[in-house]
Parts: sequence; structure tokens; C-alpha cells
Amino acid sequence: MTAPRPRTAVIDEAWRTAVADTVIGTGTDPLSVMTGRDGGPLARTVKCLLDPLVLRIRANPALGRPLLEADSQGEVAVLIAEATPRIADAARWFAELKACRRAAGITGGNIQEQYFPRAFELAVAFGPPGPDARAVAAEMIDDIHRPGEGRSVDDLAAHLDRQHADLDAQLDRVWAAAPTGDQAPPAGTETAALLDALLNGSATTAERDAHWDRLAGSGLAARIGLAVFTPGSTIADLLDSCGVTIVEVVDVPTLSAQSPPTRPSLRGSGEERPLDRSIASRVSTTLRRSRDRGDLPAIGELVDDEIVRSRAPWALDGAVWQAAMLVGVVVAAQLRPLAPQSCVHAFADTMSRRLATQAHIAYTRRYLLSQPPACAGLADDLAVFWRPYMNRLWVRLHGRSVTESHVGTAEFDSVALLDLLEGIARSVSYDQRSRIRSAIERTGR
Amino acid sequence: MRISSAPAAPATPWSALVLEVAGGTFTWDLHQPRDAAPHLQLWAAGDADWLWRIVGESAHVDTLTAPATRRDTDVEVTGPRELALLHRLAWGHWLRRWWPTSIRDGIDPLPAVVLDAEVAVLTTDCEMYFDGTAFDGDPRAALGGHSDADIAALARHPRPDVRNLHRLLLDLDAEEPEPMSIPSGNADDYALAAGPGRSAGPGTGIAHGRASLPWESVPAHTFDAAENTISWSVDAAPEVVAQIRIELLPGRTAEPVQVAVSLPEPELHARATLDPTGTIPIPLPLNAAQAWRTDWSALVVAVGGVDARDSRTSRERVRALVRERIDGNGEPAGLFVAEQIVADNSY
Repeated sequence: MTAPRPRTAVIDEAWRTAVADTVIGTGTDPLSVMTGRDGGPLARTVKCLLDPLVLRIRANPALGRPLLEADSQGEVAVLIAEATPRIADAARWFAELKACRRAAGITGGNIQEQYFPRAFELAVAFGPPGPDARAVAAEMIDDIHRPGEGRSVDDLAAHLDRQHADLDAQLDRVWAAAPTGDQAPPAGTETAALLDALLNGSATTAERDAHWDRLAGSGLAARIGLAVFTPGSTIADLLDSCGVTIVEVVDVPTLSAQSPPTRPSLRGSGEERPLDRSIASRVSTTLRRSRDRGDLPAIGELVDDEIVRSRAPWALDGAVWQAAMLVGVVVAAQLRPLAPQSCVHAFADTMSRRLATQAHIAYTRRYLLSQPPACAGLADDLAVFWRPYMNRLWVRLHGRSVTESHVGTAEFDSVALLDLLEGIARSVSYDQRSRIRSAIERTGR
Repeated sequence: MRISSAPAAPATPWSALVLEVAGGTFTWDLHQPRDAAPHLQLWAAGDADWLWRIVGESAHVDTLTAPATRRDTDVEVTGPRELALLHRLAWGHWLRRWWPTSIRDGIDPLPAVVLDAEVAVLTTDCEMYFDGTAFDGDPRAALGGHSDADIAALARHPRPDVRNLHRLLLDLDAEEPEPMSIPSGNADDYALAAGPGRSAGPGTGIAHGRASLPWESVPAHTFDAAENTISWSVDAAPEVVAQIRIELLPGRTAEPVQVAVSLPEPELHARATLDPTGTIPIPLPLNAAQAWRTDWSALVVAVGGVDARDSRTSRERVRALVRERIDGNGEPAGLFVAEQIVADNSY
């Protein structure tokens, strides 16, 4: 067969073969824990195990497309067939991990998402579970669920307690030494042209990659990101240059409730906007989000870096992440799911229309507009979509700028950029809809 | 089955079964037979990696490679059993959102925890149709409104079909069964609380009348879903005020929805927010003499901005459909356990 086929259909077929081969070869069916009602792999088996670890679609993007060409079809079949014994071992490890989890009284989170990749890791390292399986699994559970040595949120609190005065002074120094607006923000027209080429004018991925590379290498994002800290209307001017219609001040995306943002506090919580969040809250997000805390620098170093970073462009490190923030700001300003309008950039237009069509926004909208207190704030967040969007985008970019500040556009290419920007919109939308949903569930049940 | 880039446009949100899956939304007409083909709006075709299960591989490939300008295509369903499963899940969601519980009409409420448990189990069966962001894809969300104790109590329910649902829930969680020390729900918990709902008394004042509630503008499980549950009366002294009362289900508190009254002659619009008791006085911009001269039969009451007069026939059809199911003339095999419980109680 030479015609393209749906990717999941190819995977489904390969999975059934894997199950049959395992049953014939071993007389057991360990893969059943990863198999769905109809004999195909669970969606999470594909997402958490086959895609990242067997097909490795990040490295082999051709295997990740919705339709697979003939050679990719063959490749998928071969990769899954070759990995079958290992996947079967992973399935056995999964059972061990599950048992340990139960013994440790751990609940919460999706068990398949948490353990499928770890089970595969164990299968690669140890083969099938042996006599010491219980101990190995227990150690893995411990590793997954206990914070890295010296890098828990409690360790952070202790560090801040000990060094409070010094760190506070350090924060003062960083903010006092920062450039104070003598450097004018770059002309909006140059940025607007690059953004236009990136978000509108690219016929091919290679072209778009070239535009993205130019933007990220231009230093424009850093200069605009610094200007955010000085009085003036940098973002509004930029949007104006891009031709994005701004009717009211509330239409201009910001990262802070204050204009310009001021020096954040060292400790404290409850601030919602990114640049208003305390240094402690930024670092603890890093600790919480980091899967392998052992890979992070020590707490002291994390805090010192965060203090310096707090006055970096957009409070982010890394030219790529700063540039991604710049693109994100301009895209966010165009997303209005409740009142879609035509966007300047085709990329934003597609996204905006998709957000608007997302089912259930329509049907919940009418109810939300009657403003029951259960939904307080939700209607605002829907109306001012950029706010949750910017919050989430910043957190995501911040996480990457902590651990991957030197990544370049070769690694984080334009496809990755647009995926990220769209993924943020989706997760904001999903989050909002979950909140709408739980508000509806709460009323009357 | 019609695949479209545009959403289906049901007359009201409750006259359709809707299921959001990865990349698209299925919509079935509520009144069509369950094997009738749905409308599928694909808003992110690339995410709809399940499409081949329903329409076959070649139609899947065609759909993804079609020019973006194409709006609608009709494709043949090759996986009717899969589609039937999705239809059933959509029906479950409809039951959760729109079941017309009413004291007046004698339609008992569905036992929520039983219904939600079945929806959760079905959602798990349909996991290949959802991705991380699909609105209807999280089995736990379906059970979000219930405490662990309520769910655990299903294990000791007098009905075997409910206990079976509980077993299926445990399987999907892969968790140890809960200890059995939780006091069990009495079967009476699921019957309708005795006594009539807060009924609207006859209006006093210079004029009175009744109106119906538009289901789509109020939350579920709060108001009586019958017709004519809004009673209004107009007082002319000391001020001209429209007194509105909307019938609640027993033990419920009204949500603060907007209630608006309007008249064509003299033209007037006034509105206020409903009290938790389901009542609200709305002052009208008239003096007593004007009030006495007015033809009040033209008064329109709209709740949440919707005038329910146009959709009355549709609501009657829904009640007829629901009665057909729970009166045992329908298709017993297709009933949800929660519906079956209401059906059995109605004998």
C-alpha cells in the first residue's frame, strides 16, 4: 500500500501485532495494561510511551504527522515490532510501580501519564522485573514523588530565612543598576515587518525558520523586553506598528498589574501577574515544574539567578525565549474568543477562530453572561483572554529559560514556536472550559 | 454523516446531543433515531486522529487532504458500533445537563451520582476519541461533583446494576476498593423528596399571569422544568411593581439570573436579578393611573435574556421523549441505569 494512511491506524495495527506476538512468544499478555477496550493501544500509551520513546517523533517528525507516507508506515511498524519485548517489560514494570504506589498510599494525577515513561526507563535499564523488582520500583516511586535532595519548597523557604537581608539587598542592587530608559525602544516598524514575515508571509517552513532566526537574532525582543520596565507605551506602540487595533487600554497585553512593573518582593505569594510575582514564587514554580530536580542547580544559585533575571528583558533569559515572548504578546493581543475579529496575522486569525468555535463556549456563554457568583472572574478572563494567555506563556517560557537558556533557533524552530503559542491558547481555553464546567456542576448538584 | 467546518445549529442547546472529541464536535438531533448520522464539525482536523474508526481510512485521508476551502462533505459511516457508543455518551451528557426534572409534570430527578458514574465509565471506553484538551474527555470531571463517600456508597446500593457500575469505576481507577464502613445510601435518597415544590400562588394585584422558563438560560437541577412555572403579578400601589416568582425544585436555591419584563404599549423594559428564593420584585416606570390603563396580557417575561414562548413546543417534545423512555414503552436496553431507576420508581 503506497497511499498515505492515518497515523493512529498504522500504530493500532502494529500494536495488535505486538500483542499477538507477545502472547505467542511468552504465553502471557502483559500489554493488556496498555491496551484499550477494542484491542488497540490506549491513547495514553501512544502519547506517553510510543510517541516519545519508541517512535521518538521529536527527532523523527515525519512519524508524528497525522497522515503517514508509505516509508513512514513501514518505519512505524518496524520500530514498534523491534521494541515489543521492551514494551512488554515496561508493561510488567508498570504493574510493579502501580503496586508500590498503592503500598505507599500515593494518589492523584494520572497513573498512566506518570508511570508509562518511567516503566519504559526501567525496562531499558533492567529488562524484565527480576527478584529485586520490588525494591527497584519502590526506589523509582520515591524518586518520582519525593523532591530532589535539598531542592524542595521547604529548602527554598529555609534558604530565604537564612539569607533574607543579603538577598533583599542583592535584589535592590540589580534593580538600581538596571538601565533606566535612556535606551529608547527600537522602532516598531522593523519589528512589525519581521513579525509580519513570520506570522503571515512564509510559504514554507524553511522560509519561516529563516524569519524566526532573524527575529531571534535581531536583539529587538531584548530591547523591547527591557523597555517594558520603563514608563511609556512600548507594547501599545508596537501593536500599533503591527496594525493591531487597540480600542481601550485593557486591550494591551501586559505582564504586570502596574505600569511600569516595579521591583518584585523577595517573598510573598498571591500575585497573579508574572512580573508582580515574588522571587520566591518564581523559584518555587521552577522547583514544582521540574521533573528531575536533581538536574537543577542548588537552591542558592537558583535564587541568585532569579534575582538577576527579574530585571532581564521580560524577566526571561535566552534570546530565543525573549523573542518567543515578543511574538506571544503580539499574538495574544489578537485573541478574542468572545468577540472574534479579523486579525492582522493569519496565524492569529486561525487560532482566534478556532478558539471561538470551541464547542460549549457558545452554550455556556449565555449562562455566564447572567454572571452567577460561582463564575466570578471567569467571564472577565474570557473577555480579556490575553491575561490568562500571557500568564501561562510567561510561566512556560520562564521554565525553559531557567533550564535551557542557551537553546537556539535550530533547536527551537518556528514550528516549535507556533506549536507552543497555539498550545498555550488551547490550554488556557481548556482551563477556562474546565472552570465553566465545574461551575455548572457545582450549581444544583 | 456530514463533516463540516461549521458548527451544527440546533434550534436550542437542549434539542441536540453534543459531544466534543479531539479536534471536533459531534451533534445529533435529539429526536432522531440513535443510528441516525450526526453532524461532525471538525475544527482541528489534524487532531481528529480517531476519524478512521468512524469513516474508514480512505475517507479519513480524503478529509485531511481536502482543500481548506471545502466546507461540507457527506461520508459513509463504516464504524456504526463505534458511533453508537459515542452517541450513547452524548446522550449521557444530555441527561446530565437537560433532564427536565419537574414536580408539576411528575418527572423525577435522575440519581446524579449513578448517572455520572455511568458517564465516567463510558468516557473511559471512548478514551481513543479524546485528547488532553477535549471538554468531554475526563472521566473524573464527570464525577467531580460527588464526594468519595457518595461514590463508595454505590457499592452497597440495593440494585445490582448500580453495584456493577461501581465495580467498573474501580477497575478504571485501578485502586483498591474502598472499605465498606461507609453508611450506605438509603434507596429513598434517590426518590424525589416528598412534598410539592415551592409553588407560585395566584397573583394578587391588578393583573397577573404566567410564563415559561427557557431551559438554556438557567443552571440544571435548580428550577422546576415544567411550563408556566413563572408567575407574575402587578401591584399598582404604593409603587408600580411586577412581582415575579419562579418555581424551584425542593431544597434548591435560585441562581441570580437576570429577569426582564417588557411591554409593547406603553413601551417599557425593566429588569432585576432573581433572589435565592426564586422571587423578585421589579419596579416598573409607570404611575398608578398608567398601570390601570395598561393591557397587561402583552407582558413578556424573559429569563437570562431569552423569551421562552417560541420554544414551548420543543420542550413538550422533550418531555414526551423522556416519558416514553421512563414509561417503559421505549427501548429498555438503551436506558441508562439512572433512567431505569426513575422508570422503576414510577410504577
